[in-house]
Amino acid sequence: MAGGVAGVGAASALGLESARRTGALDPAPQEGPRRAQQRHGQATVPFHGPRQAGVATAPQAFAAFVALDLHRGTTRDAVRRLLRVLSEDAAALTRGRAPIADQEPWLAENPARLTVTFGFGPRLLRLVAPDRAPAWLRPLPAFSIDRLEERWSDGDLLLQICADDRLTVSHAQRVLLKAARSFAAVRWVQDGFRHTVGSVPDGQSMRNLFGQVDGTVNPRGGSEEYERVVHGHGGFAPWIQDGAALVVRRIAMNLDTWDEADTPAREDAVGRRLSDGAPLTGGAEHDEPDLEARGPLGFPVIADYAHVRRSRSEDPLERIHRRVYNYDLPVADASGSRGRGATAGGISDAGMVFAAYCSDVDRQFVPIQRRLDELDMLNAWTTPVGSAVFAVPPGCAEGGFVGDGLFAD
Amino acid sequence: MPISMPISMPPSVPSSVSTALLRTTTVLALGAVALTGCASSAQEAAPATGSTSVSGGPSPHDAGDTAAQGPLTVERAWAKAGSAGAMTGVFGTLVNEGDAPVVLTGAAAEDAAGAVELHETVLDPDTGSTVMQRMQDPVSIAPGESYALEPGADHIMLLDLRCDLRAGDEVDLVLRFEDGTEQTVTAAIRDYAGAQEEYDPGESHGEGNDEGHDEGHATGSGTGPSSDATPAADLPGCRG
Repeated sequence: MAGGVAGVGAASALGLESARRTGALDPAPQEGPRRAQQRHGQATVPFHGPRQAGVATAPQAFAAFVALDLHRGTTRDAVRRLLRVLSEDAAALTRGRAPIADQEPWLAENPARLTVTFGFGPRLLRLVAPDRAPAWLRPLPAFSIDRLEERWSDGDLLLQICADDRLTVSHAQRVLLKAARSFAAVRWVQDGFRHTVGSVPDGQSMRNLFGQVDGTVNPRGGSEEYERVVHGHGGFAPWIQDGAALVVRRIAMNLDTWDEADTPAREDAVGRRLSDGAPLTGGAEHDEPDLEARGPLGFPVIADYAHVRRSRSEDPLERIHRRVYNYDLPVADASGSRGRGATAGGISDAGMVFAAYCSDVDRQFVPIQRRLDELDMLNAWTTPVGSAVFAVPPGCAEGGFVGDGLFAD
Repeated sequence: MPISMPISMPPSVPSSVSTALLRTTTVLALGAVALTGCASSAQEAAPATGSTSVSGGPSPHDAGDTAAQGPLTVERAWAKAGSAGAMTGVFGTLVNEGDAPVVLTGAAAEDAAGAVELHETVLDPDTGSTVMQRMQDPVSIAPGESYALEPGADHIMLLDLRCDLRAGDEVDLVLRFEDGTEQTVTAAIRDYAGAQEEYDPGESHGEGNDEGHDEGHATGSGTGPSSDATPAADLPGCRG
């Protein structure tokens, strides 16, 4: 028993240390009686800065993607006030402080690396700064594999709320929605989860509900590749300095038909070993797959239709930064199996909230998606059911609000 | 609607209060010398958790919007959003960091409200319910003490709003002290479902105050993107 407790403590301490090294924590954690305990609930990610938090930030365990639609007739000034209120409340919450008018202030005491990231939909940006709206800020082109539902698509304003404590996410979501109520209505909410803190080593790729190691090839925050892919340094110019693009795709995963596939078929579809995520051409998870390798019969080891091959581009600029979460919704009266290609029925309603950041949707996300649309064996089990595109504005300084620079003129 | 209400929602106020109140209103209005521009930059001062609150224990709320340039430090001043013609509450924590007692006698907000009153919420020994009433005595804040203005407790009431107080905007009000000095406080305006301290000073305000809702802003909630609801957010505001 004592050993178990000590083990948990050690894991948390490691997580904190790691977070501190990567700059995810406040440079100067607040001194106080709680300091000694080093609970991961006390870890914070600064809200203010040239860029918004929650993009380069190592993904937290829990997420709520909340899309809002502005009320009809909303004015530019109303958007300004909305963004100010949301920014002030988010800034307080991310510090572990209750915002003004928070009626459950004690729920704000464990920020648990809370981040709130704003994304602007086409309508909002056109309202605020029409001349700044990038050409790619519109629904993605239609793909043949799509079975999009309006209830998971589009929106005027996105709040990506992430934390390592589910209660923290809930409270932040509630506080922000109360503040937004007179300005906007909720269009959709997509909850997501990953491994909880301490359950796997820090920095380890998550597994999705297919059991696959997910997110192996992903530019890490702070790396040169990240700067190029997300913020356009040496890549495609972002719509605004320190801004980015965000595509949120909801991808239903048919766990029932996936069950019909045995391990060799599953690995063949992806091009990676299920056990550790290593390419089928050998090595470890992060080793480069050898796309030229052939088996004894002369067939490619990594099939032509394998996800790893199809998602890859020769063009180093054609990359995205993924921040993916699993979803697993309760199903009432669940029974039987979900049919091939169906997006309902069976005993599970599961999939992933595929959040992808880049600097230019049309030149980075779309070509990748187009290749996967043409050919990807994983399409046999996955179906995009939601899609939304947002322009991610820069961060704001203390006292400012997200998007304030767009109101300068 | 049910008659019984939560303790924090006074169903009525003794009508005897109203005349005294109107007199006070006049005095307060006279004293309303605008000191705009005094809301200071002293953000992020002492965290609320460190102060002694008169009405409760330490607050976990964020410390912000602190305004100095006067005898008091004002933490987290905020006002509940409200529509023109209605009334609404102002809240926050007043901290006396000086060496002498500070005696608060009243307040004004001439740009935003026809009258401003200090209110307290007291228990009616006869009915067992709480009622809101104009404060009988000035509030004395001892050195080192703080005085909390909170929904369901003591607060500042803005009456007869001259414009919409809209979430995301700010409203200035002037605190008046016994020694004749004043202090301007800038309060952030927020939508808030509580603080339904609806209060009828006895005048015929006419058009039915709809059941304690002095905030007209939530009308669009839950109506969906295609709603016809045009929130009050788009009517002229105090600063618009």
